[in-house]
Amino acid sequence: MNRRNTIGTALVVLAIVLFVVPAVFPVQPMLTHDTRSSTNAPPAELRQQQIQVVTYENLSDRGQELYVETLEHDGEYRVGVDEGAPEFVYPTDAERHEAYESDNMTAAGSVVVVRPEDDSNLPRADEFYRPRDEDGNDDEAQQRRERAMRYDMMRTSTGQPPLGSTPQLLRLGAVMLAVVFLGVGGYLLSSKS
Amino acid sequence: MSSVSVVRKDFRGARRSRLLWAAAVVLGLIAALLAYVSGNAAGTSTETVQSLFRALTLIMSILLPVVALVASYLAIAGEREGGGIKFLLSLPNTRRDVFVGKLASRLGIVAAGIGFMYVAAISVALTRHGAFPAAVVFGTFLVTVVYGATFVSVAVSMSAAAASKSRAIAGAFGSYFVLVILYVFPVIQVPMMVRWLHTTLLGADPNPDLYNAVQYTSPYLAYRKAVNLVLPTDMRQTIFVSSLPNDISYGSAAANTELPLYLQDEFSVAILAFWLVVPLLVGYWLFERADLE
Repeated sequence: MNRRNTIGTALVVLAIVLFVVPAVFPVQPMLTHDTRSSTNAPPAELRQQQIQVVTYENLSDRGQELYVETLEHDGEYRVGVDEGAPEFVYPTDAERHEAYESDNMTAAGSVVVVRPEDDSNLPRADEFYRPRDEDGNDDEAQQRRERAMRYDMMRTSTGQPPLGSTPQLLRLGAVMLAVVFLGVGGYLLSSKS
Repeated sequence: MSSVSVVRKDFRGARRSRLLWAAAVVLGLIAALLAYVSGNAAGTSTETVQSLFRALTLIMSILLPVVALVASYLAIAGEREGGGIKFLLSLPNTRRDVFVGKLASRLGIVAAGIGFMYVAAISVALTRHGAFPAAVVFGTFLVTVVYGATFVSVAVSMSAAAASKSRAIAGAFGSYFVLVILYVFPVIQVPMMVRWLHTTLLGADPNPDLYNAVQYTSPYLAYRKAVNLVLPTDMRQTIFVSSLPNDISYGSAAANTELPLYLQDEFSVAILAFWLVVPLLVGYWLFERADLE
């Protein structure tokens, strides 16, 4: 019976620790760079929409590095909150929503990177271009296609890592274990004679 | 003092039930998973956690009655059929002591189960979002405990009135069907039945307020409306849509104040109080008059 008590107490204590520790160390937000969205609009139109347009050469070293890494990671790349580039804004979902509401697109976290004419040393842009009927002749369509590939839209934001990421799963696992340990430990302690 | 001894004995017995602990673990896991997957809507961390606890109350509105009924339906009927009631009623225990003690014990068990779920949900919410909106968390907890207590009240009363376990089981399942399922099952719903009775059988003009008032007698809907009392205005659930004027937006405060008094959120307190007290009075009255031999 003493062994039952010992195991029960140990499980309850472990459960409390597993409940408390993940709650004290919450999942840290991360800065997300996402180049999967695209734009066909010319730069003047983009600036009119208050979207930041920056040439690749004018990006800081960190900005260039993040852009390249994002393209190399299939269009989505996350870094810690203090590892972003100074020229990018990283709004949270709420801040982005507020920026849209107040028509302040600069704060919404969209930036268009103008790739150099010769971009052979950069990963391929992940913009897509679908010809439309109103694009007219082949030359105009070709121009639009080239512009789409040159002006690469990137969205930047601050948010939680995805649910399938290791930090999230570790914390879920800890809480699930805590629930089971508390149940089993509580039963062992309660059912003693 | 006798009621206390009945509570102590009954609670000790329940604590030894493997089934109850298993149910608590399952509820805790459900709460943890729900807290984990919820919260992708745009908004601040606090709003996300508030909406998580609102979602938790939706799950509880269906699950909690099952837990409360299963935890309570044999409270007295089980003792009666097994013969244990004779020992319980030996001096100095009175029938009132047994009734009150069993009720208090089962209330404690159900409240502990809800607490178990909340601990799991709070832990995941803090982990994922780092926010703890205390007013919403404790408010929904309190309302949920009251909701659970209404079904404990119904089940203990039926258990006190039933002469056998089978009758108590039938009563518990029947009350779940009548008080919950008939309000959530899409094909046969109470408002549809009342509407048919009112318009087809009696030939009267449609009256949405009447149909909503009839369905508002359910503790299930009273609970959902009572949850609104502890949520921020823009998060409140609009339930009686058919009673609202067309120009009222659902998330606004007017979505509650424009309703007739008997359909407003505040009226849910009276409905929950009714289901908390009246079944107990009837159950106790029947138990007092029952021949226990």
